[in-house]
Amino acid sequence: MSPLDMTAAPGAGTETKVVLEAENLGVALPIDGKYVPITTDVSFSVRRGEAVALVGESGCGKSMTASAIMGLPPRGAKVTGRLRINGRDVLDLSPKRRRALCGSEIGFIFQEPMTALHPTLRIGRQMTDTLCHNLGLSRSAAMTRAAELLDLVGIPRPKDILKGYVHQLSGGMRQRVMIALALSCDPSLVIADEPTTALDVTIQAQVLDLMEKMRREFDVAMLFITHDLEVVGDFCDRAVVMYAGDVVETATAAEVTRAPHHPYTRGLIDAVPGTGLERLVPIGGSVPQIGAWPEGCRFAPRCSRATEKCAIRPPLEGAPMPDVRCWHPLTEERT
Amino acid sequence: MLRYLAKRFLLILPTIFVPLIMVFLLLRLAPGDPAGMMLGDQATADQLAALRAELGLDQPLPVQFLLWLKGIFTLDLGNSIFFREPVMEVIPRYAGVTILLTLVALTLAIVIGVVMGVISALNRNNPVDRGVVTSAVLGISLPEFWFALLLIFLFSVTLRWFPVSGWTPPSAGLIAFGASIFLPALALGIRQSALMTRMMRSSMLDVMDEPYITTARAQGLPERKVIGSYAMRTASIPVLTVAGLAAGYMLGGAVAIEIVFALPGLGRMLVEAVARRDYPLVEGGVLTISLVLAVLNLVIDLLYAVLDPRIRYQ
Amino acid sequence: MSAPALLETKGLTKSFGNVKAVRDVDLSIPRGSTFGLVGESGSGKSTVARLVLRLIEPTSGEIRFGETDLRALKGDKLRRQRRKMQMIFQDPFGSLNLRMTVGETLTEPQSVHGLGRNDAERRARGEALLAEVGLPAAAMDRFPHEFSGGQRQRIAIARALATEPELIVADEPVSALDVSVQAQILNLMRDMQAEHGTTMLFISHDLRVVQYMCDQIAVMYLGEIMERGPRHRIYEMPQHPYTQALLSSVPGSPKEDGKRAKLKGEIPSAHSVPSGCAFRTRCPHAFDRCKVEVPVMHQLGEGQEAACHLLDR
Ligand SMILES: Nc1ncnc2c1ncn2[C@@H]1O[C@H](COP(=O)(O)OP(=O)(O)OP(=O)(O)O)[C@@H](O)[C@H]1O
Ligand SMILES: Nc1ncnc2c1ncn2[C@@H]1O[C@H](COP(=O)(O)OP(=O)(O)OP(=O)(O)O)[C@@H](O)[C@H]1O
Ligand code: SF4
Ligand SMILES: [Mg+2]
Ligand SMILES: [Mg+2]
Repeated sequence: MSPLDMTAAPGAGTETKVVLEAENLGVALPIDGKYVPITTDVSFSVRRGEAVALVGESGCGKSMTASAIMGLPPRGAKVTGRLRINGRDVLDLSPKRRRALCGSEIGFIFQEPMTALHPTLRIGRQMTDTLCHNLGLSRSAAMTRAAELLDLVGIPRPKDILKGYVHQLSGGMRQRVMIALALSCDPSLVIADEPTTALDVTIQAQVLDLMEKMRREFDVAMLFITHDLEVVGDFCDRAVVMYAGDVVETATAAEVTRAPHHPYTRGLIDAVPGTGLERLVPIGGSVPQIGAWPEGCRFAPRCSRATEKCAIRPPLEGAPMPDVRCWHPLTEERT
Repeated sequence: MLRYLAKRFLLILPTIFVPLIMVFLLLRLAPGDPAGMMLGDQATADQLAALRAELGLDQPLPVQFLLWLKGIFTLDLGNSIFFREPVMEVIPRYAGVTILLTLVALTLAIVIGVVMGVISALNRNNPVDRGVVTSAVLGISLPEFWFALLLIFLFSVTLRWFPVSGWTPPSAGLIAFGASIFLPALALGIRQSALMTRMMRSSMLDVMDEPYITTARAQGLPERKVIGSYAMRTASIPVLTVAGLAAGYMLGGAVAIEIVFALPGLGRMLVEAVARRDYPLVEGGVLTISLVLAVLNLVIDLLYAVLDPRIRYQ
Repeated sequence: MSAPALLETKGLTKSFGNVKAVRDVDLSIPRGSTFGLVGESGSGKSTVARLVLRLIEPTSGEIRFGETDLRALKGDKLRRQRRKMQMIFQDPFGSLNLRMTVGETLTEPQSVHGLGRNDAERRARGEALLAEVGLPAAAMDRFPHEFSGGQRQRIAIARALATEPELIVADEPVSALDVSVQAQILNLMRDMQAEHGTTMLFISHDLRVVQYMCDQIAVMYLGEIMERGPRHRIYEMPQHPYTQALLSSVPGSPKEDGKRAKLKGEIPSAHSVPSGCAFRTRCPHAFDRCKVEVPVMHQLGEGQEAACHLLDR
């Protein structure tokens, strides 16, 4: 079953355009002369106007998946599977054509705007370079547009900021600039890699508000990478849960955060302190290293529901439930 | 910005005066008497004493030093004992050659270093990179005069592309000037260019892994622009640090090069003046070199501030 | 507050040049309890931690540890005092000596403070500590880099326990860990604390974690304490506008008119602390008086206190 038709679009009934479609996307990196898989069989889709979360613990391959979508994986990486952006297969495009999608069709927001913006180039220069190159604007038209964009993301005195440098801005302002830069060429897909993780809670709230506003204003599809399930429930429509390079569950954000089907997702929820003071239930053990994934279900060694069957790799299967990669999902048993 | 420059300027003063004091003391404490040298073996004690008094050599050391300091500020460095004319007139005849030689060598070193460093970094771990790295190691381990001889043999004696030695001032035509300075500057700069190649390579490799380079790519900028204006801009900052040190080494190395290529520069002048115990000229020469070095470093500091706004706004 | 305080500070102040990192901090940590310090980045939490451990000298103020005046201690006495106070850092990689085996890491503090009669005894205690934090005895002869982040934090906890301290200061001990591992460490720290009766100063910017761990909580902003009190009072009826805003900024909290952000702007630089109430530049309720007068702590019952002019009304 293709990943597109697994859950109803948020505006049910109306046909919404699928912007991003990944099918069995895998990335392998050469480590000590051998290709080691970092992610395998990552399948999901994002529609226009929808925010899809990519959740999972550190090292599960969220950023690697994002870099594969951008066409900017680490050197030597082997990317397999299928990747469609606005209906076009992009994995076989030439590097130059591939690069042309960046900025204009896909915008990218990084976790750490301090290091993701150039330390010695003026903010205005970075923004206008992008605008001039992708939209063919003149320098002065680009400068005007850049000021408008900064104004739109709530930056006071945009003209002065354009003349300044990253180190002169506060953390929240930097992330606003990053958002403006990512949206500057009106992309149809925005990938945000932990955009609020480095920020204080009060600033995180501001940035999430801004991202929500921009998402509606620009009507973009958004892939939102995070490890915080509360943010998923708060900000996203659907969620893709990853574990050890695999997608283990895809469902609506509400389901994933409240009634998940995969034992791992359940474990994640139980491990986060809530308002109650009852003892946390950690997931035992730790995430397996890349290159040392167990055969069969990769979560089996840490799973309380594991049986012999779990020595065989479960498929990512949907209907009647959302897609789950598990032989013994929570709630009803599969037939 | 002004404060930054003022601070840099103050920091430079000691780099001028410490070498001067050292040279002043070394010359006076070393054996050998300029008066004796000038008058020859037959001089009488009276003649010697008279000349000493004339040169101020009979005064206690601190007084001599103060008098000489006063001379610096009044732009009167005394008379060369050997040439018997004011130091202030002798030095300009030699300084131009050395300054030009150093500047051209520094420029060559920076250009070669940056270009080779970038090429090497972009070809990380393939044969091109290995070739560059190996040449850089060779370049660092070989002494300048050896290079000088090699270049003369190859380009002047065998290929006859450049003159073997001698000096043509820029006023006599830029092409002739270029031909006469190219080999000496190359010989002087090659070691430093090898150092800069290594520095540029490693700093470029670091920068290429920086998130802001990924951002530039994620913005759709073509690779040429990503490297040329985003990566090189930050990667070349550490090279400037090397350039400041290089300027110092080059002014020192100029002595050997000027002798090998028979160039009438400060280095050669100094060697001869030391041999003749020509105190005023030696001191004047050292003062000039310290000044040139100080000015070069100030220019490099300025460039730093241009390349890195984080310094400017500190 | 019933139990006598193990650690008490009065008017604790620290300036770095003209950066006022910590101003007038009064703390009182009952023996055997866990005291939480929350606040945004740069609010001075780590500086307080370093001050109470006397790793840095306060500009002014008092620190008492039980009956001891910590500021008056010097040389040997201070060294002996250090045995009673241990620290756990955010990044166990930075705080563990990478060239020491785990065994050495666990026995060294014991020998420094003259604990245990001989090496064998200290080693045995090291193994017992490892067992307590859930690591096998075989870990003794391995190096920190051979362990995962969570395991390294376990080692750091074992090391902190090695000198049988009365006070443990934990500065963001789980911030670098993944949630599943974070839960393991939080549970471990809670168990340790229950078992040894250790008093703990627990620093975190994660309000959910602080709620889980701490009996008493102080909320810091720009180097000052805005509000403090027992956990249920702080979380259920926060009185200071900053505490209120902080709590309602936690993801998943209810939104007002579809908005998450309750505060505008960002924490000002510690170079130029606003006059009057330090929070007034971001406070949604600020009025004239806040600009000119520094608010005093208002007693709100059950040990809850907050410094805000609104509480006068
Ligand atoms: N250049 C690289 N070379 C080798 N391994 C890498 C490289 N980049 C990433 N990895 C490995 O690939 C795995 C996936 O990394 P990735 O950055 O995608 O994780 P992530 O899910 O984004 O985690 P985080 O939440 O920490 O950002 C990790 O185990 C990481 O160590
Ligand atoms: N050694 C120092 N020199 C100068 N300023 C310092 C020093 N240490 C801390 N500061 C300043 O003191 C203030 C408080 O810093 P502190 O590290 O205590 O904050 P924090 O609450 O621990 O923040 P974080 O959550 O980021 O760890 C900050 O403005 C910081 O820049
Ligand atoms: S497949 Fe088995 S081991 Fe894997 S998550 Fe499901 S129950 Fe657990
Ligand atoms: Mg990541
Ligand atoms: Mg801190």
